[in-house]
Amino acid sequence: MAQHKQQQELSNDVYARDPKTDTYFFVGKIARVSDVTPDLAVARQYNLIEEHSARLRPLELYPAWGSIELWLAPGDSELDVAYCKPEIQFIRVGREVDGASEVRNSSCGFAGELYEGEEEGFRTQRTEDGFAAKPEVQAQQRQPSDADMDELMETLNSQVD
Amino acid sequence: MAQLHNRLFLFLLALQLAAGFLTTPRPSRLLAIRGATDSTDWDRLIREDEDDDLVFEYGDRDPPPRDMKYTMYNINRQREHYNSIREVSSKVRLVSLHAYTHGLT
Repeated sequence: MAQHKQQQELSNDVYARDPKTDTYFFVGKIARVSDVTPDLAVARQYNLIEEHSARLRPLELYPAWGSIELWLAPGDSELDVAYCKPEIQFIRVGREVDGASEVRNSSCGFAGELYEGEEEGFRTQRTEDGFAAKPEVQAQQRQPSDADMDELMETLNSQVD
Repeated sequence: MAQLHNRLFLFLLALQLAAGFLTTPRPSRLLAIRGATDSTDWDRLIREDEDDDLVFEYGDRDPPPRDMKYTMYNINRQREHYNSIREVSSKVRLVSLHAYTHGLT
């Protein structure tokens, strides 16, 4: 669990939106080394992320090309975002951040979201401040995360071996 | 003289047959190669085969740095960096945890 937490700290989920709407589309994840801040990592890769967003959502985001906003959420927080957890706030990242051009491209990374088949893609509605626009979903039982599922699979596989 | 004509005929015949095996480069590739006068054209070569109906122009904005243009090479590189950073961060944490649990810190 602690290991997962550390990974979360060095990665962030990235959402993109057309500023005319309140719908934020999940477009991928960034990671960075510890001496690079999240906003520097985004600013350095801004074009890559922005164009990926427009290609991922050509109907919704391509028309806003040039004004697409990029927002950061905590790493691997998709479930919390889906449940509209009130403590999760998105932070907007600017295109220009001082020092971004000096960041080495190997000090940050971007894994763009890819849709498989007819996948609709993850999106969320937020306020202008980046908070959930809808009330929190009170789940009876939290669904297992990807990390939980990986751990479960490892346990099962070790029993097979 | 007749022998010279025969040789010329055979040469032209061979040339015509050879032409049948030669493939003409697609116009887009040809243009890309002809226009490859500076470094940015390599990006054009890489992107050439992609279906690309969308046009991304920068207008008054500064163009992106070459290593962040939307090319397969750059996309894959940044994805690899993402995977590497996440892998390393997990290992660093494991080492810290190991040191902590064994009283080394």
